Amino acid sequence: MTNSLRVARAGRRLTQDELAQRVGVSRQTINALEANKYVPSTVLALKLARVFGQPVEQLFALEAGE
Amino acid sequence: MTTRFLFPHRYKRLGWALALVSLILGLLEMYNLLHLPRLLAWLPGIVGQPDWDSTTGRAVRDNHDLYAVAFVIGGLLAACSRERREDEYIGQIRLDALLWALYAYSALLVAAFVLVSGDAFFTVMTYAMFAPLLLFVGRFQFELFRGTRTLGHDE
Repeated sequence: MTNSLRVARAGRRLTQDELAQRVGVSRQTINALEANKYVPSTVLALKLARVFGQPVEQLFALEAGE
Repeated sequence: MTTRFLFPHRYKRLGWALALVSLILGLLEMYNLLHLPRLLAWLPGIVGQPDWDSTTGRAVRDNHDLYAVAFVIGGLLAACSRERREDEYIGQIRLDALLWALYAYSALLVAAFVLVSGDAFFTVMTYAMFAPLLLFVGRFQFELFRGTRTLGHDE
């Protein structure tokens, strides 16, 4: 699964730490998400989508073959 | 969602201190480099006989039992206390470390069965009692450290 978290975060001028605090996770988690090393739970994906005011499908997308 | 089965974060340092002190004292006693007064000598053995003290000619419990109990408690507190900000990713790292430790322990055990025989195997068994906890803590801390190192200055 890929995501456009880094782009969305840059658009809002948020640091990783600020975003992490808003959704209640560690900065390490945001870093892992942006590096596509970790696929978030539905709850976290929905929280992130809420912060950016976007639908989840716009932030996260399945890769070919998934 | 994080698991309910974790200790509060404040126990982590206590756990590390307890585990490290007991590990060092245990190894020193195991290799006859240090012998402290027997603190558990009063505790009777429920199953089997405690250790035999040749100087007094009485059965007394040696300190290695105390060190083993302290190491297990300390190791569990160090490994299973919440991180400062425990979340689902940390939980995933913890779970992966546990699985990795199981595989590594099994591989080491198989190697020991094949390579070690006789009295030396008793030493292997002594280490094997604590290896799963050590491997789990080691792997978990390594993965946390690696994750922190990759954070860099990306803002």
